Amino acid sequence: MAIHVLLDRALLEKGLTLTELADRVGISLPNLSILKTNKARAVRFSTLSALCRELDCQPGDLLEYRPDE
Amino acid sequence: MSEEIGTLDRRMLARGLKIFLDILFYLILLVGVLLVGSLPVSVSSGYHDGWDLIVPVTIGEGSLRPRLNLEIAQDSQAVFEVARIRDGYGKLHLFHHNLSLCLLNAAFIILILAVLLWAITLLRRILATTVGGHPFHPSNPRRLNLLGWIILAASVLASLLQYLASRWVLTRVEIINIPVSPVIQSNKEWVVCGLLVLVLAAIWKQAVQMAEEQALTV
Repeated sequence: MAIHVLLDRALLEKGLTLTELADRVGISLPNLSILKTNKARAVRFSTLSALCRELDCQPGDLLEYRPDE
Repeated sequence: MSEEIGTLDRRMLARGLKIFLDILFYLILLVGVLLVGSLPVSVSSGYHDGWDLIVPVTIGEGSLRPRLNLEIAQDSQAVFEVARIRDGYGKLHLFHHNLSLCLLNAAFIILILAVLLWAITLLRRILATTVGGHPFHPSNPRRLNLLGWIILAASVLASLLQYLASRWVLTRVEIINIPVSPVIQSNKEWVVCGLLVLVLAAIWKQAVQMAEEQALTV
């Protein structure tokens, strides 16, 4: 997948753990883990908007396009 | 709530079907084991008395659309002038002392039972995943696809073998009073059934891909 989720960086900047973010956003830890490890095939706008709200960032701060090798 | 009840009903139905297929599987297995087990007894006892052979034939001239013209008594009251039997199919019952023919017949029956067991095993595996709550397991469309090809191949091969067997037998037995011909049965119902199963397998494959997408949507 050429789209990478930069959740690691965002969590580090905010000093949050994945479990804490999962609690705040209302997504299960396994699902958030799928997102963090770039295994997700799609992200709902509602999820993205909850993540942006809790991490105080823009969608562009969480997603990055890297062409496949 | 009603959706949960619907899912529960479907799972109950799948469980019931699986139990039925389990029973059918073990029954066919038992028949196969009994057949193989009784083969030496049947061979030795029939060595002196002879063995049965049943071959499908058509009654009359022609393999595809057999017809047999009948002689009818003509009198002044007769309304009908011509009588013939059309599409007459029957089973020719023969008696023989040929050991290799007897073994070939048994091998053919065992082969049919093996194919049946294979098909039922595939269905049982599909139902096992459905009962376990994973109907969209990636193996299921593959299993259904294989089942479709088994049905198609078996129906075509059965027609061909039936024709060859009846032709082989009819060249070795001369029947004088009634004309009989080797049979060609199209098994078109089974061919359609096989094609339908293949279509269902293709749709199921799409459904599995959609379920995977859904599962990996956060």
